[in-house]
Amino acid sequence: MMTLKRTATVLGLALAAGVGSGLPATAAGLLRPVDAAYGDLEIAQHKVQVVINNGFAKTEVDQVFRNPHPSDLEARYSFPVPKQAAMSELSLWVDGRERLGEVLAKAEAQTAYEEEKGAGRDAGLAEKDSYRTFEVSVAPVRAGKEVRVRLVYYQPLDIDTGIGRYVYPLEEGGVDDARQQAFFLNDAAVGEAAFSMDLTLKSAAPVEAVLVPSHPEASVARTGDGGYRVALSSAGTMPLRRDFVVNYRLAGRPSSVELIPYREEGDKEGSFMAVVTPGDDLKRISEGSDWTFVLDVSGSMQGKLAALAEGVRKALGQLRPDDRFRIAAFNHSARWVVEPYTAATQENVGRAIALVEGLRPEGGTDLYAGIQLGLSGLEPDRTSAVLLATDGVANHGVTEHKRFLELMKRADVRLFTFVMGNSANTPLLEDLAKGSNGFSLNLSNDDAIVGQILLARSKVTHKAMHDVRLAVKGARVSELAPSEPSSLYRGDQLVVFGRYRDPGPATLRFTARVSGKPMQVDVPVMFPETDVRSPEVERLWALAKIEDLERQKRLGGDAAELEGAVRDLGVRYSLVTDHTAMVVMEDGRFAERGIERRNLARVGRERAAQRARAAAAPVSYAKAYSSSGLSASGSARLGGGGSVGPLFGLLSAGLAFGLPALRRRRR
Amino acid sequence: MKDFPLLTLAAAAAAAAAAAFPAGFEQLSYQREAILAGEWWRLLTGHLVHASGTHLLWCSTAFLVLGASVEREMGRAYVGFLALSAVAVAAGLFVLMPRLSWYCGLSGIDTALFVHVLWREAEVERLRGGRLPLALALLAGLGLAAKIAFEYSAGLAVFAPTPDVAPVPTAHVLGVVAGVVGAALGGRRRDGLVGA
Repeated sequence: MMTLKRTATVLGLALAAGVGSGLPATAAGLLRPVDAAYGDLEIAQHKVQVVINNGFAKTEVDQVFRNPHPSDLEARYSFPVPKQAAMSELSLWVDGRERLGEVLAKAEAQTAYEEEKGAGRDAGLAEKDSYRTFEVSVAPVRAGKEVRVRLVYYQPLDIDTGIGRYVYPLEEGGVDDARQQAFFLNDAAVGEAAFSMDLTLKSAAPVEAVLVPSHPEASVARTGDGGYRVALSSAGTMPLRRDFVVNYRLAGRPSSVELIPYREEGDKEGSFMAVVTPGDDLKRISEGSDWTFVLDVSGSMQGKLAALAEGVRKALGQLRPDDRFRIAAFNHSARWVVEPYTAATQENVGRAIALVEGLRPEGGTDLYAGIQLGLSGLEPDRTSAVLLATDGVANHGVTEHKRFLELMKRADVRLFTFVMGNSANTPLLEDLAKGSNGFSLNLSNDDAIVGQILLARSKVTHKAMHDVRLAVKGARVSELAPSEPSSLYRGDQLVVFGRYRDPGPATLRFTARVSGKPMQVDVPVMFPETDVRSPEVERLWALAKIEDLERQKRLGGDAAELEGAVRDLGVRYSLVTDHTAMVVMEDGRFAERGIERRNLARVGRERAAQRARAAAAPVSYAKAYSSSGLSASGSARLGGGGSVGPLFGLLSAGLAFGLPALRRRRR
Repeated sequence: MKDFPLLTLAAAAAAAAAAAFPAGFEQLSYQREAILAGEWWRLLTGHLVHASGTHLLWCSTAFLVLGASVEREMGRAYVGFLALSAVAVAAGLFVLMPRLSWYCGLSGIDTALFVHVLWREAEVERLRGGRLPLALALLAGLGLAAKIAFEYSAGLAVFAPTPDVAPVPTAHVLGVVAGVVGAALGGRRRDGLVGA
């Protein structure tokens, strides 16, 4: 199964390198007048503050826009939806005072915004457009004046094989022309942004190293409490075109369970976030396999194909003699580039590479046709895998989510999807991978390529845990999300949110199957009577629940009922969803409209907790466990390289040649 | 041709070729699991592959500068020194860092060469009584120590524009050890330099 790992390597490389060296990327970050007759507003400031602590990241985006036009305007700001982001705060500054938004049902929020705007009062509206963008409308932006907009969102941490990864998305994916025209495509205005990024990393587990692959010019410094601070600022010419990516490497930890609770004194229910980090005893797969590459060659891949071909070349170059491959390509239709399965001889590989290099990007994206072709002709007596590389959305042929899932159900094969950039239909690609017990890997153009490739490779070359479930005995735990069993590949963590009613001791049971063999681990845990250190866990639970409901809807559940449930959760826990929106207005207007200030109260609790956490040392909620099924061996696998730079080169030259020269002269 | 650093150039060329070869990183890098599975050659070849073009550029530059000097000094023994350094660094990582799954780059060997040159220059100047060059050599040694200490404490490389690879300072400490051993073994040859 060396083949598998190498293929993953190839795809990761191709996708990542492809975008990096491909199209001129377009950027996020503009506030554009709704009236197209006016040019863009100027960005006076784009300040991002990130705090990573206690299992999740808080991202605060504070922006100041200037209206250079002679008229008051309504303007709109758009940015890619970050992965698993719970958008929780939208604030406008009016007369120097912060006005915080409240979440309502979407239609209700839109009506309120329109009425406030129509009455000439300051108002703002934040909406979500499916997996694509958050869109923020502001009115009025006074002629010649500035407007300050602040957004906050939370995300569970993304830790894989002991490597944490944070991405602040800025690059538009280039797959939707209309969207680009509307919001992104204006480098000149973006170029005037005064951008600053300040990331604070606090971790109870020791952090060994931090990398900023997207912005090597960023300063990285260790803080007194063992954490790190990453800072980057620009005086005025920072194009907001590249994702900001930070990787951090945690010291090895044993197999562990972290339970991060939140329960106010006197509350009936508490919330929790459980993170299970399995041990490192998944066995390596050794038999040969059949590989099918399915490559997106639609128009949005313009400029990325050369690198994609290079990636495929590298992957094919590493196949073993008992591995076979074939290659399909798709845009408005799908066709074979290499077929049937071909032994990975040097000659065959060379011929295949030439064919891939000859592909030309054009047309729409018939993703269904591509996958359908890739799934055809599988041989049941061989281990097979399909690797799909795409940066886009299905916009041609069959596009219904349900049809894709039905297609995958008919095939006995693992699908690994490599999703590049910020605009791909991530929910669909993740559902497809999950449905086949494969995995979906998101890659930014600005990721550290080698590390990402090796991560992907280590997953596909080892056996995986399937039918992974987490259950809690005691504490009257309910509403677990995600509720569906999942698969865990090497280095993956299981993150589950839930609610509890009875504080006290309980047992957390983690079950899975590896090669059909069941395994089970019981870990005793304590659900506290009161713990107010992480109120954000409540929103994250609600977001996980909402994602569960949205997935059920995609799978064909009762749309009206599920949308209603999403709406209720969004309003109750103040989250912007597809069916809720956040509206900002003058404080008095909320009371006059009878809108309860739920978010104001929630944000007050969160900010108080954040102040307390900032002043305190990071808290460890981790509890190590050991069992014969999931060993307690070190779980974090590290990688790196020797590193020397120009200073070392100069020092070496001085030592090796300077000193002998000096000696000769003195002689 | 006697002083021509043939081996150094050949090794640097091999590193460049490994970067151009699609399967280079995969087949040659230090990968703990593969070594455990019997691919022992990775202990040697892992030094020849790099995580990026920038990583290769700086590691190779230092290697060419230092290697040329040491090869000229050691002659045929140089190949033994390179092999010793390569194995010492990789085997040391294997024993001391069981959680390190992969490693790449010439910098461990660069460090061994650096220490070897440093030792040589310090010894020559000590015997010749050249105070300024001796002080400069010792300063370079302090610079190396500070570099490694910084890498350990900050988890970052010093002025090394290779954001795609995290430093492994233990490799540099092992390089120091290999350099000291090599320099001690090569002591006799320097007698000629002193007398020259």
